[in-house]
Amino acid sequence: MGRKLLLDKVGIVGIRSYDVYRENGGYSSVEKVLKTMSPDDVTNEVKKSGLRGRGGAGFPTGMKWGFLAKPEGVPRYLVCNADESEPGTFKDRYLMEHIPHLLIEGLIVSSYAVGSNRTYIYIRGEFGWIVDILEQAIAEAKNNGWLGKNILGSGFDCEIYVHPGAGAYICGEETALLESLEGKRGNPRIKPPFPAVKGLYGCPTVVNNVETLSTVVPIINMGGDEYAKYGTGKSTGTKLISACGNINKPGVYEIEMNISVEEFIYNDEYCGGIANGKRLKACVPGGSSVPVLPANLLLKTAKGETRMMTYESLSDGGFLTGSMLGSGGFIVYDEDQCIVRNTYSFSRFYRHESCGQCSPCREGTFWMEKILWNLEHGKGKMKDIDLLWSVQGNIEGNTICPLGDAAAWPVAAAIRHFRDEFEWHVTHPEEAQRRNYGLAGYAEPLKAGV
Amino acid sequence: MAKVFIDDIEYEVPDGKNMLEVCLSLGFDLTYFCWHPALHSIGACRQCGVINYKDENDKRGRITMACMLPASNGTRISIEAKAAHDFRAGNIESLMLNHPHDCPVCDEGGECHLQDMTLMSGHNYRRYRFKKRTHTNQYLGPFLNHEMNRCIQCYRCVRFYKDYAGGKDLDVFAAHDDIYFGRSEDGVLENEFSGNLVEVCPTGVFTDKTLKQHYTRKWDLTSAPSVCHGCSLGCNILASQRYGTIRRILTRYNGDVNGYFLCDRGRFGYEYTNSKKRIIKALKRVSGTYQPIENGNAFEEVKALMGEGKKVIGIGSPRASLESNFLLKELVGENNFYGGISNTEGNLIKQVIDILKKGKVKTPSLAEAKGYDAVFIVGEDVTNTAPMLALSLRQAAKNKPNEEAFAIRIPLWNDVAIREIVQERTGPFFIATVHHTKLDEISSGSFYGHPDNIARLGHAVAQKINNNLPSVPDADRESASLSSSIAEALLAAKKPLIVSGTSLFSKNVIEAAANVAYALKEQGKDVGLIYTVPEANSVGMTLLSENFVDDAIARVEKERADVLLILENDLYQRIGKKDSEAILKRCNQVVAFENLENETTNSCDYLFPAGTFAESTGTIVNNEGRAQRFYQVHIPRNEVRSSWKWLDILRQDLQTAEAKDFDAIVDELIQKNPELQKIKETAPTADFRIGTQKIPRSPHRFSGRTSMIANINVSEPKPPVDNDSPMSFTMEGYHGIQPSPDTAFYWSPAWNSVQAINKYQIEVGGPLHDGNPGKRLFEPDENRQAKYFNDIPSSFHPSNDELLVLPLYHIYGSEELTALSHAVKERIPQAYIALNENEARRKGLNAEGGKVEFYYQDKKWELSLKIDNSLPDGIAGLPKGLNETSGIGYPFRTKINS
Amino acid sequence: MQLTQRAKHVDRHPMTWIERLYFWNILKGMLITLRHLFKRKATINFPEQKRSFSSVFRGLHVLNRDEEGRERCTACGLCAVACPAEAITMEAAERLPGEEQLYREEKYAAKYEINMLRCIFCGLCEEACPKDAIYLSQTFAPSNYSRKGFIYKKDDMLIPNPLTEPETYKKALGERPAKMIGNQ
Repeated sequence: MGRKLLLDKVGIVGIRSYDVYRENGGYSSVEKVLKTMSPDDVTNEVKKSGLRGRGGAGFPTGMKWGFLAKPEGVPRYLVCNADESEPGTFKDRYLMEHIPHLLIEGLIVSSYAVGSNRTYIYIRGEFGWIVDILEQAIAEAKNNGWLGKNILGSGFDCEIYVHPGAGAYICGEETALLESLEGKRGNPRIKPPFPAVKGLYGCPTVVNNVETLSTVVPIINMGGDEYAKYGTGKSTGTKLISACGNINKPGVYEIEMNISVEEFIYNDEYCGGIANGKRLKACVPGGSSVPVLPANLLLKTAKGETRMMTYESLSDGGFLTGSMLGSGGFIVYDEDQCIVRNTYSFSRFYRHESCGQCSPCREGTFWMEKILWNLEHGKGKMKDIDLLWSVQGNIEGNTICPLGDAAAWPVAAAIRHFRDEFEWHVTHPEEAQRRNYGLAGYAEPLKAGV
Repeated sequence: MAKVFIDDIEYEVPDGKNMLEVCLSLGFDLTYFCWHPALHSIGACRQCGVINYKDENDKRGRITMACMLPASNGTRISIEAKAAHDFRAGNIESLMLNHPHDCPVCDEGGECHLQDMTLMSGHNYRRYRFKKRTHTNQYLGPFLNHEMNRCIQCYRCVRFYKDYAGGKDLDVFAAHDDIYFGRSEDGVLENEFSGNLVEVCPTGVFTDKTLKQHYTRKWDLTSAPSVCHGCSLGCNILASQRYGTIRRILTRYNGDVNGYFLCDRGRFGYEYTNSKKRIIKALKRVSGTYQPIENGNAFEEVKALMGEGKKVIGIGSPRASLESNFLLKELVGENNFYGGISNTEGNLIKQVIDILKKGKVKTPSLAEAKGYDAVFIVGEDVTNTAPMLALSLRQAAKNKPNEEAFAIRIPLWNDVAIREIVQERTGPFFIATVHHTKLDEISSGSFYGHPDNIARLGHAVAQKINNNLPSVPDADRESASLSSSIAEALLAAKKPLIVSGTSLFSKNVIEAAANVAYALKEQGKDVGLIYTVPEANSVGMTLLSENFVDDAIARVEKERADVLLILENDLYQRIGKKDSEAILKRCNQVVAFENLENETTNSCDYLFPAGTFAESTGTIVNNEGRAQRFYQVHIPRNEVRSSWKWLDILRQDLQTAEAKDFDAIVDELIQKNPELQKIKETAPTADFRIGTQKIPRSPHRFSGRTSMIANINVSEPKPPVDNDSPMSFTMEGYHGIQPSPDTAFYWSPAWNSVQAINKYQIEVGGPLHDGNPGKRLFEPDENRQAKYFNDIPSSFHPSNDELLVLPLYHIYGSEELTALSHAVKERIPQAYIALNENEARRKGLNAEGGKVEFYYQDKKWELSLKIDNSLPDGIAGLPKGLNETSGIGYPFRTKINS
Repeated sequence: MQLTQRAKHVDRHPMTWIERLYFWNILKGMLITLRHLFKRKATINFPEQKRSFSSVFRGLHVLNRDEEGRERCTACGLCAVACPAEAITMEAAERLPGEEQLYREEKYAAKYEINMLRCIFCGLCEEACPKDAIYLSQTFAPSNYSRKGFIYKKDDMLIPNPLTEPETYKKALGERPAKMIGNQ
């Protein structure tokens, strides 16, 4: 049984309500911070913990807070990015839904650290019921003196506002999120200036993911050094993984970052193996935008080392033979799944979610979706595969925000690892409508048939 | 200076630029869409991708957008590298996925930035084989045509319309591949600068609707550099014709004046030149109706009327050129020449000229006005009287907040970052006017009042800047606190700008504005002072005039005149009906040189067809005292000629008369008026040649020369020769890059769109090669002792039974000639009389739209009521110059009945 | 050096007595004449008979319609700009609602004129046309009594409507009938 830090109390009945949460040691970090620590101390603790952003990019959180400009007389903002919309990722939703006070607590502590008197939770529009949960939690916290003016007599004021978006994936990109929060079109901004210098309303701003901010609570409670002992290497602490696909036990798991991918898939504590006794074909380990990996490269790296559930191990081998931990959206495909169809489905999502600001992404995603539709529906030609490769190549790295990359990577990885399946769709257009390509043509997966 | 490397060659470039600007300035052909020299970079189109290398050892580099890459020391890029080339071609390919390729029916075809860029990128083979997405187009009013399918989503339109011009009703809708640029629903685009979308849009989404009605390809147009006659600012335009009718107006870049833009009045108000009401022959009134008359006979007869001992007087025109006014003055004699405006207006303009000439404060040009960081408008509705000045002031309002961005080393060209930092903030901007004006939306404080109260506010501001000035007596607390905050803001600014004008017919307003500027100057501020005047050549004509129409009336009242010569002037528009009739009736014969039929031409005896800006060459002087030359676009196939040509012949012995050319007339003009010496330098003389060649009015691709008039004359007559300018009327002439100030069209190899302007500038967005057109006639002298005006008017007290009626201006309608153009006509508001709610209730009026009666010059007028609560008590506003209100002279007092 | 194989060497020896009589040569010439009496005639009885043109012959211009009888020309001006004799001129107009069956696209040529006196029948207009709207037919421009008659208007060149006049359309497609111009 791995150690848990975020979800350890999630099983407690009524933990969603303030009273139960408080009885189980909730808000102790706020007390600790406001009474005994300076904002810089908090930042230092987070730095020591080695916490990396849980939104997908994995940027060290302490460092991000350290970059925050602190000009005199200008307000600073903390914004919680709860616009979780990546296909395959649902950990933030789970966290907010089941243990909302953890986020509120984390937000108060973090607001204190960055000096934000007005903190926003930018939440995805589709999470309507969670907005209610959060607002109730905020009201409870406020009634109990954890929010508002002069919290715990420390002289620190903090208000938290929940701001539902209109359900655009792009608003999960931090600058687009800020635009949207300002009431404008959710178009990403060009950096620099970085939000840490000029963010929300032209003021210094920190944007962090729900899980990141929640993790601040155990870090403060146990101390940064202690937290850093969890996990391996630069992947310290625990991580929420939302596992889905053809597995026996889909759901959100908190893992300590020291287990192997194989263990995560096949251990009954986590995914519990491939459903219906089928064989593993491929996996997207970090949400739809990271490269898909075939089974042989998933469980072992190209060098033959065991692939671990850590930032470093999953990205071992770069995009040629590796992938990314990303946002922890772990999608598993069994032998019956069609990669072309899956790629088409992802492409359709990115086409729809492109903001339309810069050309390569706007037009490229549109085009890729059409080509993939053709390939999937038996209308493709051999040269379409090369065309697809060239279109994604023109998007990757050439757009304002990472959405372009996110749209290009899955396509690139699918062609890189599953080109024969694409070709089979072209050479067997009718058969491809009736049945799936299966596992044929791939190196036999390591744990096939387990 | 910074050293940059482009394809391994070192260049020295100015600091603070981005690599795209640098590349274009150096003459490289690099593709781009979303960047515009006036709108700067947002990095959205990704079309200017180049390879950026870290240092000379970096062989791979990475693709970077040149428009977002600062040209700092050691920047190393490659335009020609294969990867960069392929990326740009690939990007264009993706932009062209949904483009309809309807160039044959597209108005932009042949001058399309997208066409140019596609060719330049090298993309030619299309790999997309699906249906294109389509959009529904919108009705956008009489000026612009909308064809959304052609859009390549560069965002330039909304950035110009919203961010630059302050428009509210154009935006970008939807997302991903379904982006839509338009209004939220069909309707007229309201902004005064919407026409610039035609030039800003890189392809044919927004095209000129007036051009569409008589469409001609760019290469088939015969154009001439000209100057807009729509207001006093003198924006530079390119006027183009084919088959003898003017087809469209484009911006002519002048780095000192209008830059890249024009207002809609200037752009779409040209159609009066093609009007059916044009006078195209010499006419004589025979028993009440006009009959055509042979030119020679008309000359003989008029000459006879003006014979020895006859009393002849001439009335000039503020919309005719200096040369025409001068020749009229020569013809009738100095003492018999009267400027064609009322004495009130004439004296105001004289005073403005006096301040320009003898004051110590600089009058900035339109372009310079963008550089000031605090603005105080004293009594002028700039958006409607001098629209392009409003556009400049909107840019000036951004300067103060921009400083915050510069402080964190964000350069001006990084527009996207600047907008994030500045958000909606504007700098200090104060407005004192009679009623709510459009610029109020960016003002930090607005004051509405009677012109005298506006002047009092101005005096109070001046007094607070310079305590030695007399204080304003009986100042109320509200305006006292406003004047303090204005004075404070102006003093805090580095470069304050004072804007005023003659539109309220108030001497006090003009004096107050000058006082504020003088006071600031004494505080060591780099202050600017701009006055707007009513018409294109108001300043020029006034420089030549000693007396004005009221003097002429007084004279003919005393003693009837034999002949009255009227130069391009509808007296009814300028001095009101009563006075016009007074003078016309007291002259035995009236001879007019006029463009179009109007109320004045109804009661003349001889009419000579005078050319508008399209058929005339001449010089006009704008509000800042800048003399600018406009060239005739074509020689019409009828009798229409520049009025100075008619007048020149008329003053000669008819038997031996020979037409003098333009340069001879200019020489004569400056010989008699040495202060106008510089007008000679505004343009090259007619014998200017490049090698042995003239400057062509048509591009080398001009088509149909042997067939255009074949249906009229198969014999192909010799093309007309232009003795008045260094230009030829055809495509014959020099075909390299033309001298920038005098070019008739913008073209350069591979650049067919208006973006070819880049090639005519020393650096993109900067001055033209060979200097910007125009010469300023007066410059301030800082060492002069400022003479303050100490005449502070007393506060206005509304009377109980009478209302003071003041003119309210409309960009469409208040100008005499442009109002006759049919596109502009659609935008002219309904005539109204505006009152505030209190005043209306007091007069027993309540419903907006109800009929209101009033008397002006003993005649009953009836207009519908418009409630404008910003108007002060005791004041009513009438739209100036509309058909229904023509013949009214302002200001006047009247009683009102419901 | 010889450029071709067809050079004939001239024999310049002094003539013999027989040769100086010329009789033999006269006879040879008469024989050729005689032979031609029995050969096929080189001339034809124009205009009753017509010679067929080369398939790439470039004659009088035809303004084309599409299969639904709509004018193809959109007045884009490319033919005019391509014309080396600058003999083409046109004015565009916007198609109004309800005119969709007349004009194929949203613009059409309200006026389209070619000065046939200037035209050199080079066919560049046909090459330039992006809409297949103009082509050079197999007919040459007929003679005329006045120069004005050679200014061809749109109506002079427009092909008959294939829907309403299928017969004439077909004829025009193949060989354009001589135009009646004299009465213009």
